[in-house]
This record gives sequence, C-alpha cells and structure tokens, in this order.
Amino acid sequence: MHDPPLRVFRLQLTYLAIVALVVLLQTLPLQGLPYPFAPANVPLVVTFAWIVRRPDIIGPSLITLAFLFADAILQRPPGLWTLIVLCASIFLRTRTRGRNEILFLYEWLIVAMVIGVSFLVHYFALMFTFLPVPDVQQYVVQVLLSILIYPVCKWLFRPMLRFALTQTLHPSAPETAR
Amino acid sequence: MARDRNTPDRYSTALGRLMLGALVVILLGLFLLWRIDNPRIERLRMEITDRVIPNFSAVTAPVTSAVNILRSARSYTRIYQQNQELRRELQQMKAWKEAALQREQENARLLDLNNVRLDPKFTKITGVVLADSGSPFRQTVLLNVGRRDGIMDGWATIDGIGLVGRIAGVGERTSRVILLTDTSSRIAVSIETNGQRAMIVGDNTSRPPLEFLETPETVQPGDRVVTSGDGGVFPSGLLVGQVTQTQSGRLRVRLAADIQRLEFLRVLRHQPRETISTAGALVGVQLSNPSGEP
Repeated sequence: MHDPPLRVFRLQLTYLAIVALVVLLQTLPLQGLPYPFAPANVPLVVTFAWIVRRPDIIGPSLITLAFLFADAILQRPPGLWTLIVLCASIFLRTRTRGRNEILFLYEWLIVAMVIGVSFLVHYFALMFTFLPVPDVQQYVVQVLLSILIYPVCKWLFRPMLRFALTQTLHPSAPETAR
Repeated sequence: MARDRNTPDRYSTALGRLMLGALVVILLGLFLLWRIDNPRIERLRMEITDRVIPNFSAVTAPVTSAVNILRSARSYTRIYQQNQELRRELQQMKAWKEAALQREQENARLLDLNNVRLDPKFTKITGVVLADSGSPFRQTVLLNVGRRDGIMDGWATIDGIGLVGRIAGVGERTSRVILLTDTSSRIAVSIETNGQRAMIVGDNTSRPPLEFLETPETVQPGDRVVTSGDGGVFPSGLLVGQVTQTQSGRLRVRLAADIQRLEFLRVLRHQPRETISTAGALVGVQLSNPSGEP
C-alpha cells in the first residue's frame, strides 16, 4: 500500500516544481494591460486535486512552503492565502479521505464549495484588516474558472498519482518498486 | 477503502497535529506582523524576488520572445491595412518633422541668448522588464536594475515617450515599478492647456480616471496631461497622456506610454530640489545682524 520513500519524495519535489513554475510563468512580462478577466488560481486547484487523490504525499509543511513562495512573488499579503489554503486542504482531506471510489460529481461539488468558501474567507479577511479588496466581478470570475478547471487538472495528474501497487505492474518503473 | 482509512498519514499522528497547529500560528503571526510592520516584511519580499526572478529570467527569455514572435506573425495577416495606415501617418509625421526642426532651431537660438544651463543632475538609467505582477489585481513590473545601479524609491519611470509609474521597492539587482494603472498609484498632474491641477488615480483599468479637478467642464478631450511636480516626488513636465471622455462623461487619461508592451524602461534620476527656508539664503551668504533689529 505504501509507496517507497524515494517515490514519495520525487512526487513532493514535482508538486513544488509545478507550483513554482505556474507562479513564475504568471509573472512573465507578456501582458502589460490589466487583464480582461481574472484567470483561474492554478496552484490552488492543483493542490486540491493532489490532496483529494493522495493526502499521504503533500503534507502541511509542503503546502505552506509552496504557497509562501507564491505569496512572496505575487505580492500578496504574506501568510494569509497560505493559511486559508492550508485549512481548506485539511478540511478536504477529512471529507474525502478513504473514499477512492466516490462519485466524481460529489467530489467536484465538495471541491467547488471549498474553493468558494476559501475565496470568500480571503475577501472578508482583507476587508476586516482594512486592506484593499479586489474587484468583486473579477473575483467571482476567478472562483468560477478555478472550479471549472478542477476536472481538467484531476485528469492531467491521474497517471502521475497512481499508487505504487499499480505502479509496480508497469514495466517502465522498476527502480521505484525496489 | 478500509485499508485507506486505517493507514496513518501526515496529518493524523500526534506529531502531525502539533506541527499543523504550529504552522497555523506561524502563518497567522506572519500576516499580522506584515499588517503591523509592513516595510520590514516588504523588504524581505523584495530580497526574495531579487534572488529568484533574475535567475529565472534566463529560462523565461526564450518563452517570452517566442510568444512575441508569434504575436508579430499574427499581425502579418493584416499587413496591407497596416501599411496603408503607416503611409498616412508618415505623411502627417513629415509635416510634424518640419515643424519640429523649425522649433528646434528657434529653441536653440533662444537658449543660447539666455545662456540657460539645463539641470545637469537630470540623467536616466535604462532597465529591462523582467517580470510583471502575475496577479490580475496588481499592476507592477520588475526591472533588472536595483540598488547596485543607484536606483532609489520614488523615482519616476518612463518608456521613452510617457510616464509609466514610479519605483516602489528596490532590491540589490531588481526594482519594482508601480504602474499608473495600479489601484495604489496616485500621481499629481496638471492639464497643459489651462494649468489645472488634478490627480491620476489608478483603478486597474487601462485608462485611469482624472480626479480632483476644480472645473472639469473646462477640460477638453485631447488636452495633454503632464506631471505637475507637486509634492516634490516627481520632476514636473513629464508627459503622461491625453484626456479622453467616457460615455458617462467621466474624464480619463489615455496614457502616452505603451503599457501593453513594456520592454525597456528609463528610470529618471531625480534629486529633490533644495528648499529655500530663509529669505537671506536666496540672495547669498546670510549676513549677521549687528544692530539687533528683526
């Protein structure tokens, strides 16, 4: 059932690399004008997709590390969004833990609710600490897009996140089975 | 399913819970600390950006240029139309060039007559744009010049034609420019035709609105907007853009700088003017007052 530690470590590194890459690609100086619409929050959706499938891989410290880096680069209030994502991930884990075969629609519904609540909490946290809040219209677009790309994200990472039991049957991964 | 539920993972052990609690406290503390002591944490953020972005730019430069080439390739499809437009513009420009040459000669002659010396401190540093904010709610860019090039907070940044923003945050090798369109940007300007003072208040749109105009009805669309230099932050007379009017009658500024494609930016080295506080200092050496009269 358990993965060999090397594979877990490799998957953890992959997670960090994905989040860092997405954040840095966002900062590419391609678009000078203000965005016509707010894009989806990809690091958040990736984290949720991974935690629902494999809660044994991305622990709290890994999520904290990844999102603190994103906070620093994207000029967000440091710690706030990280804290929200961390709490949301733990909630998601307790809701979906041990249900590998749950209906996908049900899973999507829970994830959508968690995404919505996370953004709402973030908005009100900014408001109560007298920080500038984002434009509501763009914010709602961002939430909806994030919910919409969740199935895509899940499908993309499905082969990578298989358990070791099925992985050993694969001829191309003999070194991970050792 | 049953096996899954029984396997302990990173969260449910006692140590895991303890660590989780510690992380939550640390994150909350970090956020509150940032809220209370903003400059120190922001400096830390600038240092992190300073370490990361320049190293990453070697990787991203090919991506950026590939996308730009693709975009240029797309514009070939309407090349005929563009050619026509350019011809028309060229005709206009020729007329302007004649006018400018005449003015230049006249100006040189007048300057010579007056023996005016332009401000020698007024020089600029050119930097390359490394990254933008990466967030739909912030409008900033990162330049590849920093403290080692003598950049200081608050200096004006132009793109060769018009004002782009000002420096806010300087690292060792990088510095951050807050664009005029960012929601935290406030620039004191004046309308060139009648000298009225106003503020440009960024609101995350490509045409920031003009606020605090005394008599908005005297301002016409098309009037040039320049920095007023009020507050001593910016040099005065930098071109910002032209006034436009929206459907609802609100006055906005069409920026002269091409913020759609920022590649090279000039940072104006600007020393605040010495303030004259006493009457004597204006004329020369302050004389002692032997008679004791005020």
